[in-house]
Amino acid sequence: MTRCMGCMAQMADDERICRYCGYQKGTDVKEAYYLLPGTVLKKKYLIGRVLGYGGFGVTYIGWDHVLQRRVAVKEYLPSDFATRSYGSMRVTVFSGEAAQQFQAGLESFLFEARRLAKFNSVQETVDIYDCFEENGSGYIVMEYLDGVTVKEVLRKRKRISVDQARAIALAVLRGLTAVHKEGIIHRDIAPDNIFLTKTSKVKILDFGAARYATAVQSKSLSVILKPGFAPEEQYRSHGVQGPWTDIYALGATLYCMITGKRPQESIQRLADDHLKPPSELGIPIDPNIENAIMNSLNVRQEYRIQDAESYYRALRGKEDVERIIEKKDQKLSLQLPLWMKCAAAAACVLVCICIGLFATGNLGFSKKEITSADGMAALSGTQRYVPNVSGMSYEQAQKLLGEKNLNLVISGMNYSESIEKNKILSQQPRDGAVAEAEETIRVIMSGGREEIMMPDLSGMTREEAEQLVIRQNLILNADGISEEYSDVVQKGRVITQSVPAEERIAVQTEIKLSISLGSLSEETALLEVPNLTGMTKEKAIRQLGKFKEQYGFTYSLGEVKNKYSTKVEKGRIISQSPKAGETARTNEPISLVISKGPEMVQIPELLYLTKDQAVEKLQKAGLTAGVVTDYSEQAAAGLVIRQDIETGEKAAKGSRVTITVSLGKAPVQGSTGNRPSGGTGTGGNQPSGGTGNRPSGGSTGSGGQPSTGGSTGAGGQPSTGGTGSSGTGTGGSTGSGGQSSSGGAGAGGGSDGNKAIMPDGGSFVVE
Amino acid sequence: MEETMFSFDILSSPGERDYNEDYTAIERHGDAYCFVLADGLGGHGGGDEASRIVCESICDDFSIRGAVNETYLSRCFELGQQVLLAQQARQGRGMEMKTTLAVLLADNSRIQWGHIGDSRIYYFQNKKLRQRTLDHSVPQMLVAAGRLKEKQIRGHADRNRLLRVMGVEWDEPQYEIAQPIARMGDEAFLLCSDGFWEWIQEKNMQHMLKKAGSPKEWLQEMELAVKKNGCGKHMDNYTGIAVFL
Repeated sequence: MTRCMGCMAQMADDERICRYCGYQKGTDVKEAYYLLPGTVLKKKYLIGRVLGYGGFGVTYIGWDHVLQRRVAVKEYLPSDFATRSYGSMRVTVFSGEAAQQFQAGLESFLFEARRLAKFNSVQETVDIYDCFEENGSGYIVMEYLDGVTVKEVLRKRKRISVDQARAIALAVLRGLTAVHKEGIIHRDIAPDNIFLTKTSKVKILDFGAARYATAVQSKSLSVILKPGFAPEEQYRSHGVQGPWTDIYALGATLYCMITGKRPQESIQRLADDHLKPPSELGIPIDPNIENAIMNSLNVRQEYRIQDAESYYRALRGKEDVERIIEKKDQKLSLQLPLWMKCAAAAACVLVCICIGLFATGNLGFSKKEITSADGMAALSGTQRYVPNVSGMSYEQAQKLLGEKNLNLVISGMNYSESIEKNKILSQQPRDGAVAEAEETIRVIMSGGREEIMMPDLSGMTREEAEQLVIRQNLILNADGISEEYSDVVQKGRVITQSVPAEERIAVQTEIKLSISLGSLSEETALLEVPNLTGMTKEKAIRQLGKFKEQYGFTYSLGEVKNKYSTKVEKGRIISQSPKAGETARTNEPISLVISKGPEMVQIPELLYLTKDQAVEKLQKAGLTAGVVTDYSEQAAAGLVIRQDIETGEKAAKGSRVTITVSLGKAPVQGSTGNRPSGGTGTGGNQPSGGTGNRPSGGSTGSGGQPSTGGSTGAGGQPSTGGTGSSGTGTGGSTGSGGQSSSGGAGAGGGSDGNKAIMPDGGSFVVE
Repeated sequence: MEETMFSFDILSSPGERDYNEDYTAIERHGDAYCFVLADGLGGHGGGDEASRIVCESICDDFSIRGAVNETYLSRCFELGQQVLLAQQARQGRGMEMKTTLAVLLADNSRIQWGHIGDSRIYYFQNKKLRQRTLDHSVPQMLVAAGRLKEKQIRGHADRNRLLRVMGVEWDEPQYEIAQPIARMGDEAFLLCSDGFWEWIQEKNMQHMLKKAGSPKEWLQEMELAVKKNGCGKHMDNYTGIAVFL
């Protein structure tokens, strides 16, 4: 017995065509990147034919072998960033920035699955059964649905009655009410995303699918948005989306269901609105219902029905609905019309949500978990929607967020080709999420293009140079290599390079080289090798040139080895072979050992890295790290905010670079909040030693209570060395500005610049 | 009627990108000429193919049946769209292969043009700018809605968000046909992709037109400005067709 890959019904082994669905055994996939039917995932899901595909992934029919039921399996496979070769299981992710966007999108994809799995408990949801990673990508296993989309219904019947349409819309609104409460916005409500099962249930498909254009250069919005259904705020990159976005889209869907026509595109209506109410198109409709629909279709969001619950009430037809006409030329900061209520929603009853998820490759490089408040509270006046701040500078974002009474903190850094250095790369929570007043938005700053130091390629053979260029993530094109004759550089070796050695350049910069063809003349002579030691290479080349003038022949420079030397000045020749005075034929190359000077290393970029990351980076670069701490208004605790030698500067190997690590925001003086409790706490704070905002040397130890100024934020930042919140600190000192004597690694007080007390509880003195 | 006295020239460059997804073509049929410019959408894949297919199919048809009237101009767009959608279906690339399109038809007596997307057709009469096509883009729409000034379109955050392109199924024609004009002999046209007009102001185009003795000179002068302003900004492919009638 086998299963039909078309419908998962059982088939006899010798049957060729399924008698239920007509699928022919052995039908090949339509696209090379689909999983082959018969593939098994997670050792229990049998994959069949493709049910659908979009820009962000593929959905297959599947069979859960363990629970013996049909499922739908959604695979994350965004065509912009990844593909798969025919017949293989593993996904191929494109290199470069695509890889990062793939990863970010995958995390989003899986995260949303988990978020939406909350709705499984309700009877009419389409359940999410499982979600896992395999083959280098992600999968979501869901309830399989049998039925049609509203789009298919409209294709056959052109339009449906107002009552039928209303019933569908009411069901969708029930679902939206619950989901909006969790801060999730659908963003792509449209006839093709509303599903009607054979058992007459209504399901909403594809949550979270429509976000902003994926690749940076992506231009056509008509691929991402559905003209007619998308409200105008989805067209503008700085438009603010919220539940009202779904309201508009549902209104447009309702309009389409009852008139058979898509409404005029919202962005056009902004300029010249000629959307006709259904009654004007000859559709018999209750005026209250019509008003509700037209209100939900008001172009500017502040004139729209604001939330699903209000819309639901209006559509039920039991109340009078007043038509709200948008006024022209109104400024955006309006008072809400009287009829709009900020609903305090009761728990929703029947939630029917079919959840299919596609994540987009948003410009989100964040690898951090969301820490914003996961509100179970009803959407109330204190809540607000998070705006989009990516691409802005810190100051711009701070201003914008400040207007919404939200805080901003930098939580990390990442390189980016597309976002300028020191602009925001990504944010958590995402735009459109629900946030409480004073909540903190964490952003990752862009480090701009990654830069490296241009190596010295002169004297290398062509292959050596090519390999080094590739290793350094630079580009050397075939037409970037020119050849010229040279008496003084051995054939096949690099004469000059387009970028001077040790210059800082962006990765992927194109380098040009000039390679020697050797000497034009083939004649040689037997002469005494001149002395080149102590000279710079340039001088040696000139010397060899003079040698040629004198003798008519000269030696060429061959292999160049560079060695560190504390005795010979950088760039000067330490030794040569053959040695000075030896007799050698003039076509023999002289190989050199040139001093690199004392070993110097380039100071790496450390800003906004975590302390551990920065120390590791310094150690990798051959430097040592010294750490001090300080408060910062901008950066989260634990991140580097300053380095005493700037990035890009050079220092001798082994030098110390002192980094300043953030303690987070300075607390208000005398605040008693946020104190991690430790053991038996004697209550009240007993600062000793230092006062004010510096973490003082010792603390009162017992009960592990930090002294003032030491702790901020959740997670507790005890300022005592070592024992922080455990309460067993026998240590703690009397804070004489000096040493906490026990309890582990108590370190000296904050007054000593090099010894510092670390927010994570350990003290840290690095040699 | 005397014979058509046209001169024209083309300029197309990848700018600072790896590939040039702009495509241009010029075709003749008897007394009539057809000028086509298409800017394939990057970021969706297959932009260069889309622009090429559309231009070639239009020119192939023009060489057989070209005429300068609104019906035929509409046909150009419909044909291009048909061919493009068919190719998408054949390759299973429905999410990809999109392009803008600008078409100019001219013969001894009439000039007709149309566009879809944000590639523009500028019409100069007696060396003065008379009109240009309006982009099917978010900023242009915001200008129409009174929320943005015309001069703020260049460099706008949403500049790359297009509302209409070739390669996306339409219920009704999404391309726009301009009012035709009768040929007087003092017209000049510039068809250009956004990578071109982004970096040069209209008044400079006009100024250079006054000084230019030929379409080639005009394009060369404009290209200098485009390159100067766009250099180092990861500039897009830029393409221009200049026609003197």
